[in-house]
Amino acid sequence: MNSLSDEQLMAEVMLGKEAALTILVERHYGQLLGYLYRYVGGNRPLAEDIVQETFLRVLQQHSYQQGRPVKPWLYTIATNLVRDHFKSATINHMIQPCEAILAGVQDSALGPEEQVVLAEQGGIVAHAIGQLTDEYRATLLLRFYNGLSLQEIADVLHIPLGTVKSRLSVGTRQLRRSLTGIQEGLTQ
Amino acid sequence: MQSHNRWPLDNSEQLMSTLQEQDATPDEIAELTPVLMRLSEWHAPTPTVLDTRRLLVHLTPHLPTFSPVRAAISARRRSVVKKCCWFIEIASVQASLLRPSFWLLTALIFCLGVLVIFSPFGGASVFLLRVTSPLIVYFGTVRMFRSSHLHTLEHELVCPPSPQQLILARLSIILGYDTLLGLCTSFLLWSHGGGNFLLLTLHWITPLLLVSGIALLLSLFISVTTAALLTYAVWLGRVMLTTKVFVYEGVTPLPLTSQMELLFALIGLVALFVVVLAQSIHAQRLLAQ
Repeated sequence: MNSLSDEQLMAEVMLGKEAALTILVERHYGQLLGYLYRYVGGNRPLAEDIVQETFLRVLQQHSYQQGRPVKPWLYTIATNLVRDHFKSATINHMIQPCEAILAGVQDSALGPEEQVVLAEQGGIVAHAIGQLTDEYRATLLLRFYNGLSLQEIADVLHIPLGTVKSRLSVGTRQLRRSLTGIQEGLTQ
Repeated sequence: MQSHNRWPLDNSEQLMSTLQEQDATPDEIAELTPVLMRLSEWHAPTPTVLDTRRLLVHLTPHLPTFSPVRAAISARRRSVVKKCCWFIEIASVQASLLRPSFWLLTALIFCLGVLVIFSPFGGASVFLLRVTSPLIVYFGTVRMFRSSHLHTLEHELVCPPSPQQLILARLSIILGYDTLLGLCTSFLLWSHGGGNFLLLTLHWITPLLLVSGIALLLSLFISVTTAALLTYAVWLGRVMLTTKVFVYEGVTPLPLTSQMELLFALIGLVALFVVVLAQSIHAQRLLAQ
């Protein structure tokens, strides 16, 4: 069953095959967790919850059309869940890196060695990505961390191919500016 | 578990080709590559085997559940080959519902039709065809709908095809078979230079459609056998009125043109449709009780 495509596995899952679900989860769990972990600013428990909810939605929808690409579908559900989560009234609309990352970046009294450690932990990058607006962050994460093709990103976010390219271009420039700004703040 | 979280950031060349794909200019690539290379600094957690197992434990109870019958049907519908095999299987099952005596009897009637065509009856051959073809309806259609007498309605209701589909399938088999017989006869006639083969098919199929349709319609109100016999009797009378032999002198026989035969066929089809619809509604009511 390992040799089956995602779409074939999904058809098996819709028939209630547990083995197919196991393979599908093993294939996508890591990638989805990585995407969501970065999307929600490094909050692992939240990312774990959304991954679980994504797979649950897949199982409960019963609306899978045979042959429909599974990977973009999974990311669409996950992205929508994150957006719904942050749209809720009780949640702060700005996505911020989790406290541990944020504390490191905001501490301007860090020495050079500590700054290197912080950089290795990805705190600076996390903070820079957190400063991007939702559409640019999602596009950049899907492209550079999860390796989705331009067309797959267009399918996930329901936007034209040209918009994907434009968001990648603008988003990368914004990321560069954020990184430079944070780096300068740390060295001052 | 293998992690792909850092693609394409492990390789600067791959990253550059990724940027090229996004229509970035060489200057932009040179400017942005170092920025994007920094993304690899932020590592995402990789789920352990235990994490995956825990997630699966939570997901498994939510897997869709189907009865073995539904699962088998869905499995058969997945590929074109399996669909074809399934269709052949269903067709053979439907065909096997007909007793061998039916096929034998219908073939004998067919042979009789051929004999009539090639016999020296002249104009009476069309009359004979019109008279004999409804027999197929009686021995075929009426005998086929035997489930009402054998109390197998519940069995039909639990079958994947609906009762409506079963009725249609059976009618299609009978009408298809008889159309084939009619066409074969017509072709034989045509190959021997014996006239209009389409007209012959019309003579053969029209009574079949009309009698089966009206008989089935009447069977909603009276017993199937009575309905079939009554319809056949009326048809017989109608055919006799069109034949000079059976009409008194001085009285003009009623014409039975090709257009009229076509109209009869359409009436038969409408009656069949009404019956199929009524049967389906009736079956649904029974199921609800």
